[in-house]
Amino acid sequence: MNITETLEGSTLILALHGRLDSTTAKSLEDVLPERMQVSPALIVDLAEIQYVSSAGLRVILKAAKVAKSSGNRLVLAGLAPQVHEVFQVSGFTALFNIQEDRSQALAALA
Amino acid sequence: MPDQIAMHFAPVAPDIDSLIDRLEDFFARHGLSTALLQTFALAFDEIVCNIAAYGYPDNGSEHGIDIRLWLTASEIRVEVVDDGIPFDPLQVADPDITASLEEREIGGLGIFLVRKLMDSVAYERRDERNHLIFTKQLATPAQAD
Repeated sequence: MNITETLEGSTLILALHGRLDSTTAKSLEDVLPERMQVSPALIVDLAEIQYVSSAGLRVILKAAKVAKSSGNRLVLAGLAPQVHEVFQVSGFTALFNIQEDRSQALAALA
Repeated sequence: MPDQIAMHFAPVAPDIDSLIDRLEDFFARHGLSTALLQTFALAFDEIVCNIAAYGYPDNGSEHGIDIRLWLTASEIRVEVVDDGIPFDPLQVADPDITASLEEREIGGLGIFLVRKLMDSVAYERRDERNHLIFTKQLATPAQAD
């Protein structure tokens, strides 16, 4: 998995490419909670993620907890239908602000 | 011989990435949807990781983990066999998926997802090995794709 970081105004966008699973979750965990702690607004763009497993969900949940405690805002964007289904079955759709794509995520944070 | 994936893993640091590579190739070859790929990739990641993490507390294994995936006329079938300690994933309690963010934990979620996303999951302890078989129907009328 690759992680591309872009700053749009004061919003940090982390775009993930590839698989978000037990093999790759560590590379996201090295970056995401730390960035979440210091970024007032952060978008995780999952448009190029082919599949997720619970190891990946664990890191995203961790980021949400950091967002909650720091008062920073987290938005997820671009979930493919099969990825969205996993979020839904996990009960994660109730815990996250999930937007269709990056531009809608930026609008939601504006 | 029908097309299938058959792989063997040592229980220490199993190379799940190469399994997912094989899975991607297989699904592309058979024109299977990305939704099915998500379901099976997730299942392999959860099940094989779980066996590697908990199945061999003494780090001893004679056989390790064997996985096989194949197609029948109506479904995709997977069998995972390991010689770790007895473990029936069907007996794991469901996580509380309605818990608030603060109280939300990830434990048990992987196996819960496998049970929810597959059409059937069956477990058997036989010949001192765990046998887990899971299946998903192909092209059911209700397939939301």
